Amino acid sequence: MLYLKIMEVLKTDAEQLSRRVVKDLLTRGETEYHKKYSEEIMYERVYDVYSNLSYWLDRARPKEEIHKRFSEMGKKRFQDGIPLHEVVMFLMLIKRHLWLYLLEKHFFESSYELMKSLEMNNRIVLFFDRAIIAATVGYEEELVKYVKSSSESLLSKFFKKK
Amino acid sequence: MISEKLVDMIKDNADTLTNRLCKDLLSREETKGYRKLNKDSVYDRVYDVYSRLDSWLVGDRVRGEIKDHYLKLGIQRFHEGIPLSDVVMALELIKRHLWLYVQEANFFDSSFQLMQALEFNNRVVWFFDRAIYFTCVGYEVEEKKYQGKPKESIFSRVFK
Repeated sequence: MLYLKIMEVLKTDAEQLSRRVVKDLLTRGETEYHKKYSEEIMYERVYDVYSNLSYWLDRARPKEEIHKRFSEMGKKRFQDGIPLHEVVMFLMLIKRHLWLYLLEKHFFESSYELMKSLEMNNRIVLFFDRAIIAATVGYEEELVKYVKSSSESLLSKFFKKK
Repeated sequence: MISEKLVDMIKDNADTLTNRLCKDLLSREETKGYRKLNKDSVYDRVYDVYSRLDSWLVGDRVRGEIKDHYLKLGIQRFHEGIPLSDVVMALELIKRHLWLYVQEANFFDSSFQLMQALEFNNRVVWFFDRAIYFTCVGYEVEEKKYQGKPKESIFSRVFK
């Protein structure tokens, strides 16, 4: 079964895939802020997504769990000072490299495999869409909190002076 | 070679696709920011994406045009006070509905057609990835400009 084959690849090749993404992330102009992190830190972040992907892609997994995990990620990245568009690109690159890897390995040759590959592609895309939305929501929540606390501290300073 | 049949189908059915998307967009909690806009204007925005998609996908447009278009879109949405997560979700929904429509048409009989569908799917995903990325860039650049001016977007949400 194609799904199981892909899950096996994720298990065995997660390291190789992660290295590819890190190399891309650390050389792209669109992910400039990620360059302030060491290769090892970036590797851990990318590997964390790949090594858990079979868990996340399981249809039985509730959407809420994905949301919780990636909105936390969005919040952390806000605290790290990484712009949201880079957080979005980080997730997009993980998705893109996985797909390129599967194509490279000639996973889809027969009509049946091609049919299944469309289904699999949609499953992967849908998962990353959800992850991107959740990260965006978490990031925005943290931004609102930050703006609120900054303005409150500004107001309190102002009233103290008075 | 991307399937011309698929590209033509989207162009010919842009109105149906737009109506479906608008219904979904305006009823979802995740995109409630769009409810404050006039329905016709939401329709026009979605229709604009679907009707242009043929030229974006077949490569008539250079990458720079996609970039400029979506940077501007991000800036506009910021000024309309729509949360960025709603904007990203709207773009993801446009993509999702497009694919659901293609699947409904169900014309992937041969391996060749399946290959074309797979390539089409990848092209669509790639296009929307870029659209979402540049929309975020435009939105954030504008948001940064307005920090300290409690009038727009993030500030209006904090102070409401």
